[in-house]
Amino acid sequence: MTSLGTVAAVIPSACSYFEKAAYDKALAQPAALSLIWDQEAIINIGKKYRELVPDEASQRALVRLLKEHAAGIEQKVTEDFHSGNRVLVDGWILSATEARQCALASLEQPNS
Amino acid sequence: MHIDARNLPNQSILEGDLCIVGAGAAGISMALDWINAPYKVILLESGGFEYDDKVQDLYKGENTGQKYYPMRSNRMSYFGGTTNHWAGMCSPFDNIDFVKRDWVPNSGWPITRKDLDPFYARACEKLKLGPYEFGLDYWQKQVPNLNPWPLDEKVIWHKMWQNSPVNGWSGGLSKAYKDTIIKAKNIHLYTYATVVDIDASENVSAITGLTIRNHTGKSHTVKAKHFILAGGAIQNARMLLAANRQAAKGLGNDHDLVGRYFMEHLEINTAELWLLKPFPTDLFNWGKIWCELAITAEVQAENKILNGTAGPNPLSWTKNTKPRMEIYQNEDPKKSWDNMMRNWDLADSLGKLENTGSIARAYGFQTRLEQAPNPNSRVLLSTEVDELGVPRANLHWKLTDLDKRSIRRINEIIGEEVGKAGFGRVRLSEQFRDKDDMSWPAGTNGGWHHMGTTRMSDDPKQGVVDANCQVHGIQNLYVAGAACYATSGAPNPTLTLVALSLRLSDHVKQRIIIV
Repeated sequence: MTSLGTVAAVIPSACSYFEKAAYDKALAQPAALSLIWDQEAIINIGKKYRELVPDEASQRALVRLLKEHAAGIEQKVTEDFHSGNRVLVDGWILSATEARQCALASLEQPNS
Repeated sequence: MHIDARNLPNQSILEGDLCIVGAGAAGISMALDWINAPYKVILLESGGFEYDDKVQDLYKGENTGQKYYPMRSNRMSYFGGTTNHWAGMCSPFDNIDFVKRDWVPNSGWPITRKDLDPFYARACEKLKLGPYEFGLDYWQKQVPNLNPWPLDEKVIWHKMWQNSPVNGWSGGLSKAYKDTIIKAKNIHLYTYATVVDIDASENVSAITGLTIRNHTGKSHTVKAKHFILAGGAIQNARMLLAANRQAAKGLGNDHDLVGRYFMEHLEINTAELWLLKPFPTDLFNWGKIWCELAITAEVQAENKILNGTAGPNPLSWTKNTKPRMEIYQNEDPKKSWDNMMRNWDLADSLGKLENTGSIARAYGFQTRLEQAPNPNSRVLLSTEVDELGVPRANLHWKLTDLDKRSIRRINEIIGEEVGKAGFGRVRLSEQFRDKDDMSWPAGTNGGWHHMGTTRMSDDPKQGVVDANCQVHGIQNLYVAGAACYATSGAPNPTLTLVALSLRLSDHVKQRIIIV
């Protein structure tokens, strides 16, 4: 393959990499937290989580982490509390999963 | 019998079998216990039956440590003592409060909770509480709708409280027992009788008399077989330290312990609990009984933390309250009290307006924590003297990192358990989020609870009084009340200090018979 051919092959896959990941929008809706917070509060916590854990600040990273639990995500939230998989965000003691859900919700915003 | 010491001829000599110094919760409870006994009891009260500005001024002093309530206004100096401002909150100490804990320096009492149980029962009677029952199971059978939150009982338990009807709003122990004390023939209550000196035998092994004085300029002498100091943890220490004519460091102070280990209860808004759904219960409502969340002894040991409870109040109210340490700062106790009540009333009005939506099922936690015994937290003598010539007290209240870490961890544990149970989420207050932040904000509240300044130990090098509350080395001098606590437990001190005083009362009765 010529060098031009190599570039032509790489560019489409790179574009695909930077595109937003496809996911079920329910992943960005933390069920328990939605009972006590409005969407604005969820987004604010999501932004704070992204600052706290920069490695998980992209949609792709968050979807990858949340996707495998999509079928039973509420159960996963409870399990987090039992297994110690918790985070402190703005003083809130949260399951890491629900904090990631907030972060994902915050990335859905324009200019996020 | 009541005698106003201002009306006695100067240099009177008062003689009795037992002299109790101070007519507050401890002093009145013990005096009641001696009614109709074949002994003459002298009960000394610094003030009269009503608030008196001049007498209250004797309490003025310095605060050189952590910000604290003014010395002049943090205690009440008239018959009934600080029960005149008492909220009436009663709950016994836990078993763990009495044991030595390797993670709490200087912890451990020479007595156990079991030793105090019979006296707790008697203290409940004196304070006109219900039966000596503090189990949730018991109260659920008496009162409907006491539904506990679904938390793991191995981690968090529901600690019950009873509210005494003889609280400050009802006139305290003063109103409840004034007539009874006055009518008792063998109880000689002297008002306007402030102890200004203590005389000991030549080798300082016994007390021979007290000097009392008042603003008329008159002085009198009190002689008795036994003397009990029941003036509160600050004043008891002050009296012992100031009695330094025959013992240079003060009475009972051979090992430099008098005044040290001053403890308060930290009472701070530490967290919020937001319930996901409404949870109907009356368990946490202030009333004749109510409940706070407590951490089990096993979990305290595992986490190496102090004992403490979290009391839930409606968040719409707590978020509108100011720290009591900021608003109870007037030197006049009545004005400080009024400031506090105004703030609570305002919080009530604002809270009602804001109590809609999810905040209506949210609570603010006030954590109530024992303070770790700390020798550097102490009462000293000031260089200033009061109007009767006694050095004023200097309070140097000092907290430790263990106190801060414990508050944070208690609320974290509750937050974790609430999450596990899936019925809410907890948010820590700002000052408890950073694990490395050991500072204390100026709004750090104490509960107006003074404890530990003549701590109890079998070893004279570790404590001022022994297991019977007798001052080590002085055969007829005792200290009553919360000054004797080796550790402070989480609950308000009154029930326990009355129980401990009744135990002392029994001990002195046994000794007086032998004499």
